[in-house]
Amino acid sequence: MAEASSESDFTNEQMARFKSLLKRVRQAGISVPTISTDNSSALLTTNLNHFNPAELLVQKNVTNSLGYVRTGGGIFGQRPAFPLLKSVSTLSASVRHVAIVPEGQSVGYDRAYIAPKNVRIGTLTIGFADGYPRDLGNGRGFVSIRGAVFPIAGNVCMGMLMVDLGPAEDVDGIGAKVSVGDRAVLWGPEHDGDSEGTIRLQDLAQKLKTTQSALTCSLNRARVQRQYIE
Amino acid sequence: MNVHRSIQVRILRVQSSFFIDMPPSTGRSASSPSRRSATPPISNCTAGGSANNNSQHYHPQRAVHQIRLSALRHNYSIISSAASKQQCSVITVVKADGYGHGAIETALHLADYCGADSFAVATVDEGVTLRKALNQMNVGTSATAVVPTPNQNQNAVVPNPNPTVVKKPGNISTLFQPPASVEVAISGAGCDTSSIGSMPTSVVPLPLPVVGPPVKIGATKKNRSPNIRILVLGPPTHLPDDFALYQQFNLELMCSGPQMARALMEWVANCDARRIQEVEKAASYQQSILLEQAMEEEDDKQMARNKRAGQASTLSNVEGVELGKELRQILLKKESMGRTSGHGSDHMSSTPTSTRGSMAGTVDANGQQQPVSQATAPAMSFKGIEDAAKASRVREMAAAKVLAQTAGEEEVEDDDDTSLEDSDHNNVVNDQAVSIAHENDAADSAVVSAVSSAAVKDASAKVSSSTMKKGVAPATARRKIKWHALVDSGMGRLGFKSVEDEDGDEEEKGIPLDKLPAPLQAHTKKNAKWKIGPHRDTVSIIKAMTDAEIFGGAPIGKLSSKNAMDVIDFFTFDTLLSLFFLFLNAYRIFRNVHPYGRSIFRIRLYK
Repeated sequence: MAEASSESDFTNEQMARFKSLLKRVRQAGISVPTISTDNSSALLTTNLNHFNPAELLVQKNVTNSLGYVRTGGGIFGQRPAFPLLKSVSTLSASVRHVAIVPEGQSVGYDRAYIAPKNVRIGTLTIGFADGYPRDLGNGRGFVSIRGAVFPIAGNVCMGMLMVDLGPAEDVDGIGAKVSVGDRAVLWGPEHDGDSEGTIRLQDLAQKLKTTQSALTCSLNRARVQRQYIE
Repeated sequence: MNVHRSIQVRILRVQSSFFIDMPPSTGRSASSPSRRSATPPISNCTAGGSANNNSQHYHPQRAVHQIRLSALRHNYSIISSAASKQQCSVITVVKADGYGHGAIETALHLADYCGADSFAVATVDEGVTLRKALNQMNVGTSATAVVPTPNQNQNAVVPNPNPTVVKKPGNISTLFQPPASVEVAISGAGCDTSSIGSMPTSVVPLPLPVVGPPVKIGATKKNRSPNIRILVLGPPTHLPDDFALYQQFNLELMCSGPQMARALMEWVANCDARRIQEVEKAASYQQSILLEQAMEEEDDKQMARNKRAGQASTLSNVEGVELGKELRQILLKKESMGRTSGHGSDHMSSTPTSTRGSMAGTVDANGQQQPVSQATAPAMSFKGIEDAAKASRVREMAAAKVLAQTAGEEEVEDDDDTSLEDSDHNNVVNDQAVSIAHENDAADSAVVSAVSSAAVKDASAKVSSSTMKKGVAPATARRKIKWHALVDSGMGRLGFKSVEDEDGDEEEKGIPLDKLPAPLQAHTKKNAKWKIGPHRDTVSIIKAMTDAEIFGGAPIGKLSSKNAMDVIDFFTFDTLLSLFFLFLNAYRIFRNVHPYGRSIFRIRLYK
């Protein structure tokens, strides 16, 4: 279903067309054992009453016929309209390097980031080749390290990216505590009790005008290691 | 290899120091002793969600994609309860490698822990991979994924038959323990040694990772359904050829009726080539067995000979004539077995041609093999398609058929042969019909009906003589293809036709606008593009098929609530006939609806 909403004329018409075809096929004496109309969104949209089993599934000489729903995004927790679903995916990298960049110095390709003051810059082990969108560079994207959120400094490189950990003079902040080997979460829940995480995949998708599936699908299979956790 | 990797890591580090415009002095100040002591790197707030609270995860990998199985199960239960409210069961879509989460792992987990019994993928390859994995990971096998750590090297059980899914732990550990010599080598290569030395990365030794608990991916709770269905959602691409894959791995496909009909027609028409391929496959298999045997038998001799001659052991070293005789005997044996068992390949004795380029050896009609030196290529083909051989083959086929009928068994391959012969005939008729149809559009329906009746007579004669009268199931279960009619996007092609593209006389037969269902009416008024076709929409096609009393293997007649899917035995002749009808009708619709339909169709099917 392309547009899962009870107010969508398109959906209503689509469904009516489907029903009409189904009716005519059945009137011709042909048994249609099962049908499938819903994807994740159509299934979970509660005000959408298009699927009436009594109307769609009942036919002569067949009892207990089941319909089918085809759901992928919902199962992977990627349908933001439905808060019942839980996020499945967490993308993380580690801090490989921390340095203090003096005011006026640049970071990364095209010198896109010029330090406004003396700043701490952390380098993470992930880049656009891994599937982290390059569009999230230059402060659009954020990274969570030690529970605090830091903006991306400069362009995202192919194999790494740099984050702005805050002013170098600030020695008490979390940014000053970030050290090599720290886990940096790029999206998703960070630990057990965390349902959504500080940086939500759905926010990134919205920011990039794309979908969560597009982001998880573009993770590089050879470079990004998968871990299955409880 | 490991050294190479660590070189890469070193280069990475050196580069990172270049990216950050930073004089060596500031670098030194940055790497204060306090930071060095800040390792072990996992602080309390970043203790990655582990099942075991006492252990802390360390992530030495570059980038890690963690997949939370508990959330997966949670979401599945939400979806399946919502689905059951509307009398639906769930097909879990795991296309594109499970949306990037690992199709096999997620499917396996949901199958074992949540009882998910249907999965959908986008391509045949994905389907095959998933089926293989499901077969391999049978219920009862315990599969666990271990968070890869060097310490658990021996215990790690990779859940995936594909070893790349979870990287070998050993590599990762060595990746982050660069040998000192490499560091020196890079430092010496024009880099500022002092600046590198001041970097915290190169000074602070990385601590050993903390071992995480293994996470079970599947197969302990035995919730798994014995029959897991896999549905290929994407539009089928290499359809006639891929039928073999759909069959072999029990995959269901989804496509529109005309496409299916066309593919099946092609499949039947290409029967010859396909069987040649089967013969080749069987022959190459036999040959490989023979080769193995020969190698074993003559192992010592061979080695000695190789030593003397100083050459590798190839087919050219094996006695060619003997091998040929042996091969021929095996083939003949298989053929006779096939005749009695009903799954025989009676074409084994035939001598079809092959257009394949790779030939390891050739066998002439007498079974004398002439050894060719390319033993490395296992492919094997036969030479020559003489008329005499063909005639003898037909005789043998007939004999086999008689044998089978007296035995009261169903001959799968014989049906195949029948359909081959008949398909030839049908194709002729088809060609006629098509040519006439092109000459005179108005006479279309007349031609079709004439052809139909002729075909029906022809068919009824043949069918009644063989399969249908006996009332035996036409083919074995492994010969079935499950096909889902795609009406969502195929509607325009199958059931409706374009107003722009239709002839004047046909327009009169069309259903008037005001008699259309309300939503369709609105649609038609709005776009003035689609309307219900005059007499050849989906229902009338299906009706035509049922009218011709071709229930036996036809897609419609075999439907039952139990089977719950359209089932086609395309090896049987009655199926062929029904497809012939479907094909003819689909052709007409396709030609009318699709602006380029005519040319495309002709090129693809008749030229």
